[in-house]
This record gives sequence, C-alpha cells and structure tokens, in this order.
Amino acid sequence: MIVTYNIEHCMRFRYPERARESVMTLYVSPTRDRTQLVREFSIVTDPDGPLFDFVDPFGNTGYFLDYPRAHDVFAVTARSTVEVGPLASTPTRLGHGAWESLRRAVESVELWPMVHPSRFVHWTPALERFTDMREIARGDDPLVSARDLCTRLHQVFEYAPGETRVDSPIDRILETGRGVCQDYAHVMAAILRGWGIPCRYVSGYLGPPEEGVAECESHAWVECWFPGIGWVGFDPTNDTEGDERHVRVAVGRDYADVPPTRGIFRGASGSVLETEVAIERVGSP
Amino acid sequence: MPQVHAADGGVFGDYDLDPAYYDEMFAADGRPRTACERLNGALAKLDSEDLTRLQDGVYRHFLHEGITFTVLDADTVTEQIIPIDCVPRVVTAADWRRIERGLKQRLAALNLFLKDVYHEGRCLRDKVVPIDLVLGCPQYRMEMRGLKVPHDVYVAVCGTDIVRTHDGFAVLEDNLRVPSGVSYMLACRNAIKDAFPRLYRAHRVREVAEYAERLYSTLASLRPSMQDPHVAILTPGMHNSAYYEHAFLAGEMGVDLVEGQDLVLRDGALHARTTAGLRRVDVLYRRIDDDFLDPVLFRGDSILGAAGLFHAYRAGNLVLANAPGTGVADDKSLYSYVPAIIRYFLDEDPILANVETHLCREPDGLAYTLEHLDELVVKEVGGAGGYGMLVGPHASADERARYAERLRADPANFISQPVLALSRAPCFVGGAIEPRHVDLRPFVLQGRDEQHVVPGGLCRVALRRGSLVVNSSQGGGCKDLWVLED
Amino acid sequence: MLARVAAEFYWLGRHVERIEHTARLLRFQLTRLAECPAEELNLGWQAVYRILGQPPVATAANGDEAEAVVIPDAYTLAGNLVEERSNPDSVVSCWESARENGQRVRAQLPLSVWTCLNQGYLWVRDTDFSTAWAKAPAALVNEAIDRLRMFAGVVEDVMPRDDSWRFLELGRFTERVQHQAALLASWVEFGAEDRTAGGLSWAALLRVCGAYEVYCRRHSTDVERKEALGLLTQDPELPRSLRFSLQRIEELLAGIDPVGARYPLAPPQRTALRLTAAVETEPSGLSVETVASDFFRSVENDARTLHHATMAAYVTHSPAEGAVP
Repeated sequence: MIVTYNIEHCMRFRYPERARESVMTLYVSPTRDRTQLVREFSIVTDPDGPLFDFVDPFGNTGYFLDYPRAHDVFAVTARSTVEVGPLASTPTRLGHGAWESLRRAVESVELWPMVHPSRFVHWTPALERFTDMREIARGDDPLVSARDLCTRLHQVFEYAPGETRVDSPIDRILETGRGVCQDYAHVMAAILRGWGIPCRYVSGYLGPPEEGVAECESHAWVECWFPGIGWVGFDPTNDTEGDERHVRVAVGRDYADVPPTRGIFRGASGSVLETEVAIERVGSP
Repeated sequence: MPQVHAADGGVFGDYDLDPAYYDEMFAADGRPRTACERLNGALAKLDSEDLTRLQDGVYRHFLHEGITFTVLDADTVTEQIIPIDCVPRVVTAADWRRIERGLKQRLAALNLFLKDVYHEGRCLRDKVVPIDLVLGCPQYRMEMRGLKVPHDVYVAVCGTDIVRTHDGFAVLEDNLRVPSGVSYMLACRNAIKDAFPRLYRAHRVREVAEYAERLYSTLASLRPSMQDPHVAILTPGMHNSAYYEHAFLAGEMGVDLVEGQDLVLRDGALHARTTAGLRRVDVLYRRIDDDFLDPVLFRGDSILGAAGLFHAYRAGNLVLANAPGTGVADDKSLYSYVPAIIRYFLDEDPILANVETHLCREPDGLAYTLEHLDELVVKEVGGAGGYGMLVGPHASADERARYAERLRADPANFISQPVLALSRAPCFVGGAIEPRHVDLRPFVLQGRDEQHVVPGGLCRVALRRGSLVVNSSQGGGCKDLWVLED
Repeated sequence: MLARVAAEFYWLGRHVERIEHTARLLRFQLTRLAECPAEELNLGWQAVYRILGQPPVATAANGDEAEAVVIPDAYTLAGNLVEERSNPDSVVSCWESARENGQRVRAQLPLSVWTCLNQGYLWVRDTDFSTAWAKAPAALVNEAIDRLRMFAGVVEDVMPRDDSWRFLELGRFTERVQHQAALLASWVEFGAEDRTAGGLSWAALLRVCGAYEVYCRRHSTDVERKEALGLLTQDPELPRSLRFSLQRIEELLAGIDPVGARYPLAPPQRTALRLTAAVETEPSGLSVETVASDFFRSVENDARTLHHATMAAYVTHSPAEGAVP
C-alpha cells in the first residue's frame, strides 16, 4: 500500500521584546528513502532569509538559518508532499541465536551509539523499579520482546498532553504514568538498549487513518535494529509497528539529537513557540 | 651522595647528584656533560649575588610586561607571574632530532586516528582500540561523525609533554585540545637572552621566535578558499588563565583576538563585528573548549562561543583549529594505545616511548593500582593541570584511602603510572644552584602539507624541593630550553 | 577593527584623560594647602567636587577652626579622589580601568605602551597614600601627571596612526571636551557666588588648564574674565581649549569613517560639527554669568550626546535597527 500526504508544519516564535541574531536548526523534511518518496518539499520563513541544508551524523537532512536583523516574530513553514510505502512485513520472530548475533553486531560505529545511554535515554533507578514492578523483561526472541514491550507500554501509560515537557527526563513519566509520544519513545528506547537491542528515536508525523485533513502535532516513536532485517519501527503511543501512517523525518539517539527546531537569539528570554501541523491524507487516484 | 666537579664549587657547592635521577647538566661521575660544559663554566664563575641580580632582572621583565597567568581562587581573581628560573636547560642536537621525529610521527598517527574514529572506524573494527573507550569517551563528539575536516587536519596545534629518565625520553601526555604555554616559551627566551647575551650567542641556540609566523602559516594553510584568509583567535576573555598567551599570539601574528560577543552568524558564515560592520572569519584558532563553542549544539548556557558557529564549520565556511572532538585522542586512557595506533596507521615502530600505564577501567589494572597505591601516580582520565591526581609515595595513608574509595566508585575515570624518576636540572633557588625535577613541552604544528616542531619548548620545573609536580598552578615554574645547533 | 576593541581603546583614552583631569584639579588644590585660609580652601574643595561631578562632601571644617582641622579633612577629600577604590572616578580606579582596557586589547597595544600603562598602574597600586601624603601631597599628584605625560609620549611615539590610535585619541578628546565644559561651567557658577576669594580667580582657572603663560603672552598678567573664557573656549592652538579638542575629534572621526564625514553626515560627525560651530561663533553674553553657565552646560551635554552617537555608530550599531552593521 502507498499513501500520499500533504503536510504543513508551521512554527511561529513570538519574542517578548525585539530579538536579534536568531540562529536555528530545523528537522522538518521527510526522510527520502526506499519507503518514502518526497514529491515536494519547501520551507518558507517570515521574515525571509537564506536557508542552508546539511546532513547530520545520523544521515538526516537538517536546515540551518541565521537572521541577524531585529524581529518580533519569526515564522517557519515547511510544506511537503510525501508518498509512504510499500512497507515490507516483519517476521513474527527472529529465530535461534538472535541475541548472540545482536551482541556481535553492536560493536560497530553505526550501532554502538544506539545501544548506549544518551542524554534522555539511559537506565535510571526509577526505570529499574518500573521494570521490576511490572515484570518487564526480555524474552527468548529480541523481535518478540520488542513487540511485547511496545504493547505493555501502551497499556501502562496514559497519553496526557501537558504532563511533561520536551526536556523532561524519563523519570517523570515513570512516576506519573502520564506523558506524550516522546516520553513513551524514550522509555521504550531505554529499556531496549538495556536489553542490548539497538534502538533509535524517530521524529516524524502520524497521518490520519482516513482520507481528509487532520490538525495534529509532531509525532515520535522508535526503531529497533535486528540482524538480517534492519530497522523496524515501533510506536508505543499507538501500539503499532511503524506503518504507512508514520512519516519519518529524522532519527537520532533521542529527542535532543533531532528536535524539530532548536535555536538561540539575542534579546529578552521567554519566547513563545506556537506550532501547527496539518496533514492531509490524499485519496488514491 | 656524589658531589659535582664544578670548576670551584661556588654556586654549585651544595649541588647533590642523586644517582636515582638523570641529571640534565652532569654525568654520573659529576662532570658536566659535553654540551653543558660552557654553561656550567660560565655559571660557576658567578656568585650568588650575580645570579640573584639576573634572576631579579628576569622577574622584573615579566612583571613589567605583565606576563602573568590568572588564578581563580574561590571568588577572587589574582594575576600571578609564572616563576622563571634563570638557568637554561640544554638539549643536544642529536637528542632533539629524535624528539622531533618522534613528535611528528605521533601527531601524524593521531590525526589519522581521529579521522578514522569520526568516519568508518577501521581501528575499532580491527580492535586496535576498544570501541567503548573511544565512542564512550565524553570527548567524543557525535557531531563530528562523517564531517569532512579541511585537509584532514584535526589537530593543527599540539603540545606534548615529554619527560626524561635514565631510560631516555618518554611521552607523558599529548595535549590535543587547546595546548598552552607557548607564549611562556617565547617570553622566557627573551628574558634569558637579556640576562645572558654572550653566553646565548656562544651556544648557537636554535631560535624559537619564528613560532608565531609558523603558527600563522599553519592556520592560513588550512583556509577554506584560495583567498587571503581572515584568521582570528577566539579567547574566553581576560580572566582566562591563558589570556596573556592569547593576546600575545594575536599580537605577534597580527590577527584579531575575538571573544564570543564579537561573533555573529550571517548567511551561514561566521562574522566578527567591526567598527565598519561585519567581517567574515575564515580560520578560527579557538582557545576555548569544545563545550563552549556553540550554544546551539553544545552547552546552551555558554556565552563564550557563537551561536551557529558549528554550522559555519560543518558547511565548510570556517576552519577550526583544533577541530572539535580531538579530546578523544588525548584522553589519558587512550594514551596507552598510542603506540599501537602508530603501528596500525603508519606501520612504523614508535620513536618516542610511552610511560607504563595501568587502566583502571580494566579489572587487572584496577586491582594492580589499588594494591600498589603507595608506589603509583593516579590520574583522572579527563583531568589536567595536575589537579585531582594522587602521588602515592607522597600521600598520607589517609589520602590514599580516600582516593581508593573514589577509584572503586568510578574505576573507568582513572589510570595509574609508576612514579617517574623525572630528570633533574640545575635551578637557582634560595641563593644556590640546586637540582630540581623538570619536564618538557614542545609544540608541534600540522598544516595542510607540512609539520613543524618548534626547536624549543616550555621546560617546566617543580620548584619545590623533591616535588614532581611541574604545573604552574601547583607551584611549578619554567626555564628556557636551549636546543643546540648541530 | 573589532568594534569591542575600538570601544576598549576609546575607554582607555577616556580613563587616562579622566585621571589627568582629576590630577590637575588636585594639584591646584594641594599647592594651596600651605598658603590659603581655610575658608578659601573649603570653597576650592567644593568647586573641585562639583567640577568632577562628585557628590558634595560635607566638610567638617569651617572658617573658625584652626588649620590643623582642615588638613586631615583635606586628606579625606583628596584621598577620596586618589585612592578610594569604591569611587569609580578616583585616580586609582581609573588607572585600574585603563589598565583593564589595555589588558583587553593587549594584542593590538604596542608593548611599550602597555608596559608604561602597567607600570603606572603598579605604581599607583603600590603607593601608600598616607605615607605619600605625609611627605608631600602635591608630589604624589605631580608624579601621577608625569606618568600620564610619559604614557602620552609613548603613545605619540610608537602607536601607528591607525584606528586603534584614533579611538584612543577620540576617547581622550571626548572626555576632555566634556570635562573642560564642566570645569568652565562650574568655575563661572562659583564665581557668581564669591569672586572675592582669590582661590577661584580667572588666573587660577588658566593655571589649572595649563594656559596661564599663553594668556600672559597674548594679553597681560592682569587676567580678565572675558579673555580667559574666550581663550579656553575658542583658541585653536591651546590643547585644552574646547575648540582645539573639537577639531581633533572631527579629524579623528573623519579618519575612522571617511564616508560618514561626507554628506549625509554620520550622527557622530554631525554632533561634532554642531558643537564646533557653537564654540566657534562667539557665544554672545558670556559675560553674563547665567548665560555663560548655560552655554558650557549645553556643551557638556552635547559632548555626552557625541559619546552616545559614537558608540552607536561604531560599537553597538544600535540605532540603525535592522541594519546589523
């Protein structure tokens, strides 16, 4: 199945006083690869200024802009038309010796960072208590373990916007049991890495299930690497594997590597960011 | 204890020659080494008053020129003058050739190593260096992964600490981030030239004054385009302990000394604010740590660097010397792998030896270290400036016990080495010439096409009797180093 | 050159000039300690403090008390202007600030200039004020002035005439205009109160400004108010006259920003030009005290405006919002 989406992602920064010398990096362009065909992509900024693209250490395309002049508002709008799919189906299990092959594979420069702690994804005493109490442990098969974990987290946590912030540590959702997709993803990644499964954070969008337009937000989930298969997506917030609804934008060790926007300006602190994401699922011709 | 056969005793009267240590001026039989005969003869003719006068002259030279380093003590900032000893240390041409070749080899290998660990990681795959040690090192910068560094020069300026024992020269430490001390080498030379003008000429000492020019051409050779580059030095500001050096080098090279507040990004390139508007910066010799370079990418609370600086670097609009992330190669635990790195990347045997090192991250190393704590020097892997280390034989049982606790709590953070019998050189202390322990920090430059080792270096002295700690922050001083012509 | 560096040079010039100004006034006051009646000294201190823009200090001494009481008080008053670190305009504070400015531009400052500045600072730092005072109060100030002379000489001798020198000089002369205007205004104002006291005579004013000999050559030893003020305001050759300083400022600005010296003028050039015009045209009614005082106060204010315009145009670039330099 191939699904086409029109995505419009607007970010508007409002500054309490005039800001100068804004510098920003953006991760807002859908990944171009075998399963994602990006038909169109554009970024418009207001005020208008030059924009530079770059490829980061994880292979993501990011954008950079600097705006030295004084401004009260800075708006970025990214529009894309992307076709997702067809996706290969994943096997039910990996089979004998999978843990051992994983252990060997993670000794590579590419996978090493995805099995080791990063800023938001690391083993904490709270996570230890959480997994003990819920009896969450790895099973015989890495793929099955990951799939089960995805379901368990979905059951255990309650989706509650506003409970956590973008820079909340995983202990927050572990305490309250409430959080958003990013928290789900960080917890899942922390547990999987603890088990020795390479796991990376995915930043992207979740398209609507039916044709039409949906107002939504950015989305986040994880991808695990398995020998012989490669990266497989798991979305603990929705208890699914990565499917045609998942539009990938960037991957990293955790949120800190690939926030949709990150920047700095000169001026009084306390800027406000308004974000709007509109995704239209286009009917098949 | 054998006494020296100095001409007629004089200021050398109480010089005790301890056979446990290599002496830079005297051979084991108490006679001056051939290269030191003239210096020894000249010094022996002086009396304590002459030397005091010379020493005072050197001190005044430093005081008036304000050649100081800043010491932050709790919340007060004081400027101190680095103590300069007026007796030069002599290195023969033959010894220097070996050091020079060894340093060039070492830096070439470390640059190849850095390129490798930030790209395909061959040496990690081939298990020359443990992958955990490199990728798990706090100085490893993921942002540098896959990034094309101009001319593959990660380290353009390097300061290597070398010690001499009875077994010869050995490298104690590589400084590949922001090595300092070169200005003291130059200032020291000027002061000593004033003090011993004739003696200096008679020795045919190799000049070090060209350093600034060499540094400039090294930096300029890394420029992104063929145009005349705008080179600048980035300093954290006048309260930094090495500010004198930053200002000195900027002055000598005739380049701007910029602070973070002077820099701004425009059109993806780094610019400096001038009286006539923005001016693009092409090459930045940065003297601030990686963490502070760019608040967008690294530490968000930093005001020392410039927002977006890393983008300019990544886009190839700016050259940074040294590149971010070089600290992974001068980490004290990586140090013990440098000989293997030299063999792997250059297929050569190391010319300069390493000091025997035990990695506490390895169970054997930890066990050995804990067992022999009273014989070893233990250092933090990321430490510098002689802080946070334990000199086993000089520490009290209580200090050792406390240190052992820290060791057990976080073994990977420590390494240990035997207490080195650092060579000793004559120093004028308290009215007489006495031996003191010394080390040596030569400076190596790596440009686009060539390497250069300055024929000289910062010779650090542990001025406290018996002390082995040469850091200026810990009661160390320095002296001029005379590398002789062939 | 770097905008920040330009500002450091500029402030270096200002701080050095400020020391000189304070030292000159102190010298005026201290040389009279031995000979003047207490009352007159008192008035002198008030004038000095007003000229320097320092908050007035309540003096314990009055005319009836013995001289012995006045001297320790003078010690406090002078000490506040010389060695008091909490007073940012004291000689020691200014020297410290000047050295700090120099420290921040070490890379661009010729070694001999730096050494001179540093030695001056070390001298002032290590001088024990109470001992120096006990020996010879005036000698202390004289040495300060000599050291400033030496600094000026080294600057004159070794500094290339590039932007670093221009900003240094610009700072000096901007400070000079501002302070000279304040000096003239205050002198006129005090004169209005009491001119009978010989201390604040027009001749003394000329001496403070190092213009007494020039005046005598041009006019006579009998100093007239109109001629004295005219000389200090309009003379094109006298280094401490307003006109002389303003001419230097114009030249320096033209060197720093040749484009801004042509029409349309850059804001600092415009301010400087207006100031010069005001000073050049004989301000009518200088003989009326209030008119003269208003005039000099307005010059003092315009000098502040000039300072802000210079900073905005070459350092902070703030008013041209959007036109990030």
